[in-house]
Order: sequence, then structure tokens, then C-alpha cells
Amino acid sequence: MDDRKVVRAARDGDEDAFADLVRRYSGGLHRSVARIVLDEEEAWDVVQMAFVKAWQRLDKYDSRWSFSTWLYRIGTNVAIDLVRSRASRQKAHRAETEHRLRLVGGVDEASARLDHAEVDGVLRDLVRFLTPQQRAAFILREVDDLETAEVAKILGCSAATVRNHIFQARKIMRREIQERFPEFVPEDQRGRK
Amino acid sequence: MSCDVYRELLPAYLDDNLDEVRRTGFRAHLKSCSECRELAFAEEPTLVFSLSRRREPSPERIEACVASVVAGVRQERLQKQLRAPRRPWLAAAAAVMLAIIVASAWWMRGTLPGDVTGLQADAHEAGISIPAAVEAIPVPAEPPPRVEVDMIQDEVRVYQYAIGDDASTGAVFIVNPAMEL
Repeated sequence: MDDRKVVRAARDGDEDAFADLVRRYSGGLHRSVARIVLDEEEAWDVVQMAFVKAWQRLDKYDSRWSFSTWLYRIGTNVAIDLVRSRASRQKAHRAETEHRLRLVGGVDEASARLDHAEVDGVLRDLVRFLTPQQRAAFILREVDDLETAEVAKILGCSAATVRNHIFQARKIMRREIQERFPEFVPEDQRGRK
Repeated sequence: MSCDVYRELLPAYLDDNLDEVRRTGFRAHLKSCSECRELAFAEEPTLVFSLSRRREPSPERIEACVASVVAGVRQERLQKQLRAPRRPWLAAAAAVMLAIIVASAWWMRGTLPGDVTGLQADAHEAGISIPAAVEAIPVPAEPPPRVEVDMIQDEVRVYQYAIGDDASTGAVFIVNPAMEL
């Protein structure tokens, strides 16, 4: 059954239909949210909260949007609010960042281990240096490969703003890698900004 | 397309200037071609994150999430039901009735035999003075209020707290059965 029919049934109060939507989208939403909030378990809390909010607002859902875009918008906003509310906790994780990046090693090694969980761990450590909006834009566009227009809808901004967030995110992460972890970039490029 | 063509696409990819078809092809090529990937990573180290494979949550974790969400939805529904009384006029009528009964009970208690305050008022009206000893007579303790189910209707249940044997006085509490736990 396509999303719209399932959403319509859920809007009429069918809990099983809504549970079906949770099955369809909770995994993908969790993957994105976990990279924004940097905590697997908290990400599940965010996912659950997003779905309950979606249930509460189902009567306001505009079917011109895809359900996933609408859901990601709710989930991303909850995640960004969470990140903002605990910004002070970021400092405590920086020492751990250094350790994890060294585990990944240089570019050659990282390239050979694209599917390794450590790459994911390094990404989560580096996105700490980004603002919540830069973080969400980079994750949704570059990691989850959503289209720029969809990311713009999710974040409630223009496509140009999304591109700018990603540009800034790359710049900051590149700087962090080169300044703090020079072993992560080729020797001839170390120190280059 | 050859590797050279893909390598020329890198700046356009980084500037987000590729259409979705070419972008998807570019990413797929980098995942499969280690030589191009090395060159791309040397140019832009953050690409390693764009190409990392997704980790899917386990089906058990998804089902746990489904169960939590459904529980949250049910709780939200219940709270919504409790927040919105189905017949608000009934609550208003009950409040008025309660106020009238409490007021009449308070007025009648002032005239009950044994009520020193009532006696004092009567004596004062008649011009009789009451000795201090009489004033100090302790008022016998009343038995605890009795709970009577006065009426049960479809939407409302009324409990009357009668005072002593006098079932016509006392406070009435009206409870919506839907709110009972």
C-alpha cells in the first residue's frame, strides 16, 4: 500500500496503519538523527518523539509533501533542538574524538574501510564542530543522499542556504582534520588550508 | 564513462552543480573505483563520509521502536479524551448543583439543635443571656459522612455525603465515570 493510503488510514485513527509507517521510516530517520544528535540511544528517543508528534499533527499533514519529507522535518527539528539544548556537553567529547580518528588512520586506510563502523564514528565526532543546521544539511545531503530541494524543505530554508551550510561544513571539517589530525590527510597536503 | 570524465566532475559535485542522475553516477563510480576514490579523498577528505555505507538497525530494534510509538500514541489519545469533557454543560450544571447544596447545608447547620452558635443567635434575638457554662458545652462529634450513590446515569455518577441520618443535607460529588481509573 502506498504512503498516502496508509497516512489516510492513520489519520482516521488506524493505529496499525501508523505502526506500518513507523516500520517503514524509523530506520532511515534514526540513521540521520543519530548523526545529528551523536548518540544512538538518544536518537531512538528523538525518532519516537518525532512519530508521536507526527501522529498528533496528522490532520495538518499536507499530502502535497511526501510523508518522509514531512516526518524528517519534524525529526530533524527535534534533533536540532536537542543539540542546542546540550551544547555545553560537546567539550567533554573532544578528547574521545582524537582517539577515534587515530583508529581510522590515513586516507588510504580510510578508503579501504568505507563500510567500517569507525568511519561512522569519526563522522559523528567531526560533526560536533558544526552548527546544528550545518550538521543536519551535511548529513541529509551528503551522507543520506537526499536531494537538495528535499533537504531545503526539511530544514525550512532555501536550496542556496543548504548549499552554503554544506560548503561551510566541509570547510570546518577539513580544517579540523588538518589542524588536529594531520595523519588523516596526504603528506603533501598537511598544513594546507 | 571513463575515469577521466568522473574526475572532471569532482568540482561540480562539490559545488552541488550536478543533476541528480550524474550525481548518483559519480557517487557510484567512486564507491567502485579505488583509484578515483583515492584522488577524490586527497582533494576533499570529507568525501569519505559521503561514501560510507549505511548501517541498518536490526528488525528487533525497529519493532521496539514501533511498540514505543504505539504506546505513546495510545497515551496521547487517552490524555486527549481526559482533557476534553464530552458534555461540558453537564459539568457546569453539576458545579451549580454542588454550590446550591453546599450553601443550603451550611445554612441548615446553623439552625440545628445543639448548635451553640444558633442558640446564641436565637437567645440574643429574644433578649436572653446565656451563662458561660452553657456556652462551653462541647458539641457532640458528628458521625463520619455516609456515602450514598444517589443516582447513576449514562454519563454521570453522583455521590452524596449525608450528614448523620439526615440524607437531605451534605455535599454532593459528581464524577464522570469515564474519568475513573
